[in-house]
Amino acid sequence: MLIAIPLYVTLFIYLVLLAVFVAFAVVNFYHIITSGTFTLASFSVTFITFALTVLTLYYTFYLAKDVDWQVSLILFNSDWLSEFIPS
Amino acid sequence: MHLSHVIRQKSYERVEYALRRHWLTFVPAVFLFILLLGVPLALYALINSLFPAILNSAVIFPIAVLLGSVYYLFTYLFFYVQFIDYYLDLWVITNDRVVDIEQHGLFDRVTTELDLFRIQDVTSNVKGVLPTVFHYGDVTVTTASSNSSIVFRQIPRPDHVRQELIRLADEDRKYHLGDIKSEN
Repeated sequence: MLIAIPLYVTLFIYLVLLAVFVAFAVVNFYHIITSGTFTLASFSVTFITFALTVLTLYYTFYLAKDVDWQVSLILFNSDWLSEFIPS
Repeated sequence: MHLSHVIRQKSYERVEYALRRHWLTFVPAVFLFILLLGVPLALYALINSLFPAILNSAVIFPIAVLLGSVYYLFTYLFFYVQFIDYYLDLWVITNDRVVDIEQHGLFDRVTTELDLFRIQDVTSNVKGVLPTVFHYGDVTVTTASSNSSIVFRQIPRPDHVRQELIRLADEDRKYHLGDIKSEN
């Protein structure tokens, strides 16, 4: 028995996690705005976080752009067990 | 949004102090952040030296890239939340009251107010080597009418703040002499 999924499914999971990240980052920024604490310090930390995020997303895209996302990702293969269980 | 709007500053009120925790209390979070940033690099170096073939796999390489990306994004988020937790803890002293705004995580914010003229005790507490060297510590303000108290946590120059609180409370008591007599 073989259970496999296309590799692009991991991309969808990645996008969901990215959406969670964006939602929490926006809530953080909202807190800074509504609490009257938009100062040089909070601006600097927000800018650093934003810049690092952009760099990470760019580098992720750079590394993943040539990947063949149609490849199968094997989750389970019964042959793996045959190595341990003699027939 | 300005601070005066956040505390709903009254027309006769002026902000004397807006206090945050000492910057040194945020340094451990910065070190932890830098340490966490290094973890994937160390893992990459380890795998690359022990099992270099793994990273050339058509399946494992993209998964590793996505996992690394998610790890870094959530490390930035963790740092940002730590900063919010640190920076949004704010104690405002006006010539009329003390406002304590404390942020616990992302979705928990507690705001406490007490009138200056109700202050009974003000205690400053500097405990430990770093607080002693860098002059930061806690100031506890308790009121006469209730058991409620406000703790200014790890603020710079706690002794000075304690003295100022006592001075401002004395001044405010003069204005509220009638209120105090009617309560008694």
